Formats: sequence, C-alpha cells, structure tokens
Amino acid sequence: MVSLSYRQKRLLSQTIMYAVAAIIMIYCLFPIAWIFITSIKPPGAEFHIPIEYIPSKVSLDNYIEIFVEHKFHYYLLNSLVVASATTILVLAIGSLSAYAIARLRFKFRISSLLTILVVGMMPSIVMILPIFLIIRELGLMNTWLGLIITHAVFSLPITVWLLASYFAELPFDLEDAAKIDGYTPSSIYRKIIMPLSVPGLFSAGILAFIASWGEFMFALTLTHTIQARTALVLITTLPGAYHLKWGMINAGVILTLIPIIVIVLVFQKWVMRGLTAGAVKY
Amino acid sequence: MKIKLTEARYAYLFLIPTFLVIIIFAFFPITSTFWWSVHELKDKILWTGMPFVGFENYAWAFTNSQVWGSLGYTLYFVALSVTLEFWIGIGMALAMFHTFKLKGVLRAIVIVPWAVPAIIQASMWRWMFHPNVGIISDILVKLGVISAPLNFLGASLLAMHSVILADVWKTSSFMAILLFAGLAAIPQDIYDSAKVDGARGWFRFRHITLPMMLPIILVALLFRTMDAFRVFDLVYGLTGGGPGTTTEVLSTFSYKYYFSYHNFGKGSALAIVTFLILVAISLFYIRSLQKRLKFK
Repeated sequence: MVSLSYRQKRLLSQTIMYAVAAIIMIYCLFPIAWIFITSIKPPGAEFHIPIEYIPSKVSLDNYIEIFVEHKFHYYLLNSLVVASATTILVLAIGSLSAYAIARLRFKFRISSLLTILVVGMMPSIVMILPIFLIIRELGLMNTWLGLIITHAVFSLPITVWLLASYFAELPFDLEDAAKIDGYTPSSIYRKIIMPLSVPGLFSAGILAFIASWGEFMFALTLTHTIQARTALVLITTLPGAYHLKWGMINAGVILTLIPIIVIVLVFQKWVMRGLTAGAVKY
Repeated sequence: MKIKLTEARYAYLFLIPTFLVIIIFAFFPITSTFWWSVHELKDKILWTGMPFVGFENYAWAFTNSQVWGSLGYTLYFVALSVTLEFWIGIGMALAMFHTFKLKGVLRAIVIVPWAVPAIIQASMWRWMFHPNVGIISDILVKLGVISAPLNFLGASLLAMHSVILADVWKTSSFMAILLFAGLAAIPQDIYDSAKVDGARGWFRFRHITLPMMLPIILVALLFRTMDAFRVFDLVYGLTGGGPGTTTEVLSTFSYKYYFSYHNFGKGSALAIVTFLILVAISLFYIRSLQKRLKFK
C-alpha cells in the first residue's frame, strides 16, 4: 500500500470533498437547469436533433407566448392570492388552537392534538369527491375562496403542530405574571404569545404557503377557468394540438418555480427549522 | 354582563375554528366516502337512486386484477422509493455534514428539489424522459449505455421505474434535510471518545451514527412511507397511470373511477382502501411521536 504524506492526504480529502459537492449540486440542480435551458430556446427549437445543450440562439419568446396567449399573469395571481390567503387563514386559526394545546390546561389536550395530526396524514383522494360536492353546493366552484378553504384543511395540521411545539418552548414566567395581573387567556395569546412567536409563525407560514402554491389535486378539481385556476394547473393542462409546446410549458415551469425557490433560499433557516421541527424535535 | 371563563373553556373556544374546518372538510367527507363505498353509485346521479350494495364494491376491488395491479405497484413504489431516497438522503446528509467549507452552499442547494411542487416535478421529468428529445436518453446514448433513445414512459417496466426515479429526486432532498438535522444533533464528544478508541469510517457510522439517529430515521421513514402511499400528482402528471394501467397507484386509480368513469361507488371503495392503509401507518407514526411528545 502506498503511504501518503500528510499534505497528500489533505489534498486527496479536499479533492474528494469538492467532487462529492459537485455531484450533489448536479443531482439537485440539473433538472431545473435543463428546464431553464429549454425554456430560453426559440419556440420549436426544443425539438431539434441533435439536442443543443447550450442554445445557439437565446430567445424569450416562450415566456412572451405564455403571457400573451394564455395570460399567465392571471394564473400566477390566482396562485399568489390563494397561497397568501391560505397562509393567513391557517396561521390565524391554527395559532389559536396551538396556543390552547401548548399552554392551557384542559382534559382533551393530547387527544385533540393527535386528532388534528391524524387529519394531516389522510390522503386527499378520500376527501376529494365530497369536498367537490360541498364546494359546489356552497357556490364556491371556480373561486379563490373555495380553494383557500380546502387548502387550509391540509395545512392546518402541520401548522398547529409546528406552532404548538414552538409555543411549548416559550418560558412560562411571563404568562404567570400576566395571570396574576388578571390577564385572560385571550389577552395572553394576543399580547404575550403572538409577539414572542414571530419566528415560529414565520416558519409555519412559509411551509403553508409552499404547500398551497404547489397543491394540485384540489386546484385541478375545483377550478376551471382563468378566474381561479392556479399557475401549475394551467401548465399541466395546456392544450397541444399535435404535440405539446414544451418550450412554453417549461417557461411556465420556471415562472412557477421562481417564487418558491426564492422564498426557500432567502428564508432557508426558517424553512429548515419548520421542516425539522415537525420530525426531529418535539 | 361579563362571563368569566375557565381556562378549559377558553381552550375549547380556541379549538372551535380548527375543529369546525376539520369536521366539515375532513370528517364529514371521509364518512361520506365510506357511505358511498357501500352503495352502487354511477354517472351523474349522486343523490338519487343509489342502492345499498354492502361490501360489493370491496369484493369487486379485491377480485379485480387491475386493482391488485395498482395496489401492487403502489407497494412497490413505496418500498423502492423510500429505500432509495433513504440511502441517497443519508449520503447527501453525511456529505453536507463533512464538507466543512461548502456546508452553507450545499444546504441551500439540497433544499431546492424539496421545494419543487410534485406536479411541476412531474412535468420536468416528463420532458427529460421525452421519447425523441429527452435529455436522459441523449446522455445515456452519448455515454454508450444505450444505442438508441429509450421511451422511458412508454414501456411498462421502464415506466414503473422511471416514475420512482423521478420521485426519489425530490424526496431524497427532504430525507437529506431531516437526516442532516439529526446528524447535527449528535453530541460531538461521542465522536471524540470514539476516535480515541480508534473507531473510524464505516464502523463509526454503523455503530455510532446510525444508532444515535435511529429515532429520527424511524420518524423520517414512517413519514415518507405515509407520504409515498398518498402519491398522486407525480403519477398523474408523469404517466397518467400508463402505459395501460401499469403505473396506476391507488390514488390515481380512484380519481379515474371518480372523474373519468363516473363510478363513484367503486372509486370510493378504492379511496377507502387507501385511507385504511394510511390509518394503519399513521397509528405507528403517532405512537412514535407520542413517546417523545413534549406537552406533558
């Protein structure tokens, strides 16, 4: 066996480190990079053989086309409104329940938490048809509100879970002092817990936003037109007369991905915290 | 008049909105689906003329070869996907943990696939698997692995595995994030004392890292198993269940029974089967969570 000097060993381990890092980067980013490259080729050029890995001509026509022909900005607006409203709704009602579960004494604390959690584990398919009928009966078919309510159902459990574990970690001293001063639970919630929990709310909110932005089954079933249909449903239902316009579809994919990738990268710390809080710490 | 509420009453009051939503949009729907699953319910007449048929729809489900096929594929999908994503995920987590200088960059990159919505992921992979101009075929041809472009989503066996490959791309990223957090939570002094004892490499991983992370690994695996059983978007967008019904999973199959065949009774029975499988897994999950619950 060849024995390596300390410097050689270091060099070797450094090389391996960079190689591994490069492999991970390619694995994670290559699909997105390829979609982006396809999207900036001139329309039709995505079908040229041999496949151009680096486009010989760059064009934004695919992007222009999806905006002009399909009014993609309206679909993005639908996604944005639905995801934002869902986030606010689940934070509002979720934080109330989380506060009750984490800080108040009552008989069914653990059982109500577990009940909420179990709901989050159920498959959408077992609820889709009845919800479809309920939304139709309520006259909320093809509206923002119909989608917001349904998305809330699926984000509530994880929101309550995250916020309850966040609230449980806050010190009890302040609350005890407030109780002596005659604060009711609702004023403690408003004046003490909520202001102290901005990072927790932020974490849970980002996850709710991402979940709603990416939800497909209900968005597909409950919305039909430009009025309420979300961006990613449009992309997957774009009509193709003879073949799909993949350049334009990929432009839509990139446009739909930009907001969430930006959110995830900018608020990485909060996203990680939210994701791991649900599974690693309790 | 001011009514003074007890702490417990406040708690119930605060739980009302959440439970209202859950009862109307989860409990009631699940009950209805069960109710419909024991009735014959076809076409557009949902409320009128639905004869009670007992467990006939279930009997149909358990004697139908296509249903068995989709159940089989769902199980195969879950088993293979969760296994692969676990090993890739733990590999990435370890790499993130040990590449000191690039930790921050890698962490930011690894999180990206997780953030891609499943239906978008389906669209991306469908393009990369394109029969004529798919980049994956092209790279494999250039590397000399295959001689002509493959129609990844066109042949049963290939399609079944292509769907899993596409799934693993996104979910391994989620695994890596969770397992990385688990790795970071292992106290460093355990490693230090192991080093003194001369433990290194695979031995150290096998006898220190893995056992220390076992609870997190268990939770991550259960969570992902549950999620994989619910898979819908990816299959719907990537293959639509095809070719034939070879990549049909339980969720896409019952969606088809609902919205394509308008056979709501049978679709409901399939949905309830999915539901029951998930209830079973969620019981395990809840139990593993409950053991470590902080709210006492």
